[in-house]
Amino acid sequence: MRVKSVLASLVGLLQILIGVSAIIAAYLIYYNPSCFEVRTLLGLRGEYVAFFFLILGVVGFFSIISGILVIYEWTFAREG
Amino acid sequence: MSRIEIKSGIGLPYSVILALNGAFGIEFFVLLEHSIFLAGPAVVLSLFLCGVITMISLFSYCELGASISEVGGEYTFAKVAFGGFTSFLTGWMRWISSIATIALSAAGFAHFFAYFFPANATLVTILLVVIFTFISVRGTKEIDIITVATFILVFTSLVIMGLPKVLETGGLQKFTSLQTFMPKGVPGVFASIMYSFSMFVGARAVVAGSPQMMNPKKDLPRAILYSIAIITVLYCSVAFIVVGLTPLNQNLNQPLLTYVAENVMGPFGGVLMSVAGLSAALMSLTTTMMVQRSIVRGLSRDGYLPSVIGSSESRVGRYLSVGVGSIIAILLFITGLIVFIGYISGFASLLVFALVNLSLIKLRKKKPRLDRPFRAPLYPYTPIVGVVLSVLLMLFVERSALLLGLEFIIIAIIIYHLKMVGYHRLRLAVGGANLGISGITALIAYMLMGGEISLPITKIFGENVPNLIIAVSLIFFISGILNIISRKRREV
Repeated sequence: MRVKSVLASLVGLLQILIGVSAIIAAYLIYYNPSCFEVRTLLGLRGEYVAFFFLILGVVGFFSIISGILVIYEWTFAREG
Repeated sequence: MSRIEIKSGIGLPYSVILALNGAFGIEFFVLLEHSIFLAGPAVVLSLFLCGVITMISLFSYCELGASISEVGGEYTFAKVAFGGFTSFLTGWMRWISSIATIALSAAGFAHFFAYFFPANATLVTILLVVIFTFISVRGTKEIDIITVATFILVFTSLVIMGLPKVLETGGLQKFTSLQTFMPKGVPGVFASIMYSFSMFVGARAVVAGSPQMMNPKKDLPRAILYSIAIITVLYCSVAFIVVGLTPLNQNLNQPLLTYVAENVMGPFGGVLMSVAGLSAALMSLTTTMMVQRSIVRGLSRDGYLPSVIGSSESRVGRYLSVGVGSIIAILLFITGLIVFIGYISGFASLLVFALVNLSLIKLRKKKPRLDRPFRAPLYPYTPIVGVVLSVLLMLFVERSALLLGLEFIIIAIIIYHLKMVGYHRLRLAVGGANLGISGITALIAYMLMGGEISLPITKIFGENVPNLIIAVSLIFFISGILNIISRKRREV
């Protein structure tokens, strides 16, 4: 069971990291394109910006929630 | 001792100060410049109309606040009237609006602090928010009174001393022809009303303090109405002086109000106005912290937020109830997008206004015998006008802020449904969605390797993109399994 706890913590943290990265990417793409010239770097066309913002935002938010749930269930809630 | 305990039994004078404290916030200092940019000299008209619209909508606040004086403010009104998602959305957006106001207060503080000490204003401001998070839990009655008095004194002095200067310098000419008065026409005035809205709505903060009033049924409506009348007169007068003495379309390298104060009262005026700006920032922080605490406690009481966050019993709970919002506000402040934060605050406030007015209409039908010490005049026209104007003004929100506002609504829908489905089903749903995302990402990786599609990130990560996507797919797959198979013992 301990192996599962460690695995869950690792996977949960990675998911949170993916989520936060996705949200930061969404922010940079939509609100602050001058930072790192991110739109040019990715070759994003103007009409797709809102789409990528939405996808990254939703996936990022979901990923954070899922990561928190996995960590909570397998680490903090186990003694309950 | 908690702030709630300190404030128990407050009377009308302090209720008015609380309402003024909320209304006299930093918004006027921070947002006035862009409001003038939007409407020109007609900003005076915009501010007057803002006051009238706020007054109309606050009649609903008065009636509901006097009838239902419980923790939670607008959230509790909507809960009694509608319950379910509508009440949650009201509380949620009110919380968002509070967080945006804290961020604005922080930005305003940094703005005026830089007048004295140009270096490191950002760091000092973040420290200030942290300190006020603690102070708001302990009680700040003296700060409230001192800051309101400072604000009134400085602004009255500016108006009295600035009026002769406006007449001397011919500033009155800007108001004499329609072309100079309204350079961007009626749409500019509407945009300015929307943007300036959050300067006025702060008076509703006193609603959150109604459970601590000695006689909320009488004092709450009076406090709101008196404060709105006072700030409408003061704001319009100050805006008149500012527009009269400021060359339009000129970039100033200092805060607008400081520039005008220096023009009217000399270097001392600049110092005085900066002190007033700092005081306003502190006022906004204290009031908004109190409001967000009330809202968070209401949401937590009903299970929408973890119970530890809103607990007034534990010290941790008391700090968490303001700390969570403060952290988000600091992050917003760091972005430096003051105009954008102003729009978010305006959008959330307008949505809450519309929902509170709808709550009034619903409650009049649902509970006609509810004890109503104050009744909104000209019912149902006043709440209907409140709803229509709120929705109309929302159309003038900047596009990006509107998009973010809609995202906040989507998050509210998700959180509400998560609560409804329960923890076990939620885990199953999240697990299933994880497996779905894993499958889709694996498919994308397969198609990338086959050269059937290409992704923008290929330009940065090159040939590693398929491997990266496979790794993400694997993480989501394992997470999905872990969410689905979690311990059976707890579910029995």
